[in-house]
Amino acid sequence: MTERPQSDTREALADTVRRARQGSADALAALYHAFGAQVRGTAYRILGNRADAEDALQDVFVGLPEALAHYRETGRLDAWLRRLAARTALMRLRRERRVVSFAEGLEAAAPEVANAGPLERLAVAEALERLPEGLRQVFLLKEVEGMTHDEIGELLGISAGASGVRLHRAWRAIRRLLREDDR
Amino acid sequence: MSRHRSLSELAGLDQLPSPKRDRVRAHLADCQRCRDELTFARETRVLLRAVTTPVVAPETLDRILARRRAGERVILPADVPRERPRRRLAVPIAVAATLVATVAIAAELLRRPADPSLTEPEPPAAEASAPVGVAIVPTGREVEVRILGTGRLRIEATLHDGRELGVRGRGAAESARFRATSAGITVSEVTGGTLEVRIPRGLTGRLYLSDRLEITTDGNALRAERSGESGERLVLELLR
Repeated sequence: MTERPQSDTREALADTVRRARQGSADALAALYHAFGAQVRGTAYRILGNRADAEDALQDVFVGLPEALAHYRETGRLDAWLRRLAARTALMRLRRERRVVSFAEGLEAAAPEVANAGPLERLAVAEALERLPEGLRQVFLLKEVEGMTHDEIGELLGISAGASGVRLHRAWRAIRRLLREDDR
Repeated sequence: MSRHRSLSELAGLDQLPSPKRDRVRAHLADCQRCRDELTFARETRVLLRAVTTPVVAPETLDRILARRRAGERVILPADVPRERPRRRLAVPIAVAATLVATVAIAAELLRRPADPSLTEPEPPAAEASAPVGVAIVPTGREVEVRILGTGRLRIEATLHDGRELGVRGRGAAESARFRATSAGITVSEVTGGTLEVRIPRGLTGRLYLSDRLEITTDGNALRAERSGESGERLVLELLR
């Protein structure tokens, strides 16, 4: 039986982090229950591949107790984990080029966000797959992950301005692709 | 009526600073076209979440805990918190840092002997796009590389027999030491992150990691992992 962090108390979370650093499996499990879905989502948006996202998720949590040495409690843990997941996924992406397949993952979409029409979801998935990688990464990191252009720029090694330009181009491309699909 | 707004601007309407947001809202009140664009952006964002939010497999946690129990460790590219200079001080600090770096490089160049037969590697050169926070310190036969930030770094080094060797550090590795030897290159004192070492095609050599790990390559492919005594795991890869 694993415990869950009392998310409404900062002290409880700090205690869970401290115990996870010390190697507590229960604390690691608690962090996984609290943040695992977010980590997997971030990895999936970058990798576009369920199997790779699953591997990245596992790697993040296997390495988390040691990585937490770099985390400072003054920052938000969820935001820190999101950057960690994004970096881990980007490393994997650069190492193992795979086919992006968001449509393949549609049946496994989380039910709480899967209430949109299946045809619309398929159209968006296919439009995403057709976006150039550089545009797709910025697009998803901004519009789904909610990162700032500064954060995206740091992750991808581009300037914040370049991130803004890519976002602009991505939106134009998405609109064009979805309207093509309507015809 | 003011100009039409871009999709990216409308999609980020809620994050715009207050005066700009008010201007865009005033424009939206009079512009059906931009209202349609805003609706499109919001609907698309909902669909994006639906398409890119997969369910977490229930057995994943068991696998993670099993890997931990088996002693496996993964070095992750965690960001290291750093102090951000205040904006008004950023430019003077950058200028000062540039001056210090220039003086340090000049001093190092003056200090180096001019004998070309030296067996130390050529001074490495970072790419122009190397991230801030990378320090490259030639020390005799060794090149110490400190990667303080994140991003990509490429360092060129030359083996003493003239063969070119590319070394790439990536991620959040805080420091590593590279040393050219007659058999290849030594990588030691890696303190975190992932490092990739590239050897030119056709070169057969050996890599030594902290004098404990020996990796033989055929010049085409290499992937080796090692768990250190304190449980860390280091992955070395040859770029193809």
